[in-house]
Amino acid sequence: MSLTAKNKDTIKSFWAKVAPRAEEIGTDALSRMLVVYPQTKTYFSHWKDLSPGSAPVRKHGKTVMSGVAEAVSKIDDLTNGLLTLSELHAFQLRVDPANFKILSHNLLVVLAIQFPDDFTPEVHVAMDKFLSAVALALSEKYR
Amino acid sequence: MVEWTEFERATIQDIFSKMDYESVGHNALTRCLVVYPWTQRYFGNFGNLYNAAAIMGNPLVAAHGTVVLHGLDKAVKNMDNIKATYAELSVLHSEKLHVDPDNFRLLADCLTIVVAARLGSGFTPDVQAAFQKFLAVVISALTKQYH
Repeated sequence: MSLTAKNKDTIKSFWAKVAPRAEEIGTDALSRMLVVYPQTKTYFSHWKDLSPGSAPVRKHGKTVMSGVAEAVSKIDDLTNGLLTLSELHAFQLRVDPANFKILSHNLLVVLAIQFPDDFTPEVHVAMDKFLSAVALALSEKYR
Repeated sequence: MVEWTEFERATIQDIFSKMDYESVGHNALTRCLVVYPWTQRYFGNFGNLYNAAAIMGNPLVAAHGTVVLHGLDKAVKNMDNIKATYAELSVLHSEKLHVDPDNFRLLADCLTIVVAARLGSGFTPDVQAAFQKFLAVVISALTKQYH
């Protein structure tokens, strides 16, 4: 299910609207993930505060979204473009890849809330494919 | 048996009492058919599903979206007995419609996204958790009679 040229155009256009609100969106998506899928909290036992919108959640939401922004800029070759991030997730963070789907879902929910008119079915499918492709690239170095 | 908090009960009743079934049903099913095109396999007799615009404008999709959403009413009205309430529908989806149960999850995700867009900031993380828990229980009940 690779990205078509049309998918990439859709993603880049939509991302231009998302980018200015990236931190807010990342924070909200992460907050939702921790509440709706409590098992994901196991990765953040070192944080003082896991409540929605807390300082560590905000900081990490920003980090995650800059990763997504990097993926958009490297959309033509995600596997090579995200190699360093893949190594980070594989060897240091060791996040179970099933969680990439969970975070992706929550990102889509936040995008639907923030862009009720722009997040059309066509944009939705393009973003879903994109986030799946990013997850795949991030899993590249796992085994 | 599923345990529901007061918050969860109130949230589910609130969301469904205010829901525009035609609009939400139509949008959720359309989104499912566009975002996960393989789900179109169950709607061979619906006519034109060639692209997003065709799906959105298809009256059979709109009508069926409403049917599916009203199917959720049973669960809303019988939150303490969803499993038994859906026994017949589970048999229907398995024996007659032959729907792969993974599709229930796909439609549920689309429904969550449509409801999120409608409620906006009102769709807080806690509301989302309650809504997704409700849908997960329905999905489990719909899958129960598969063998």
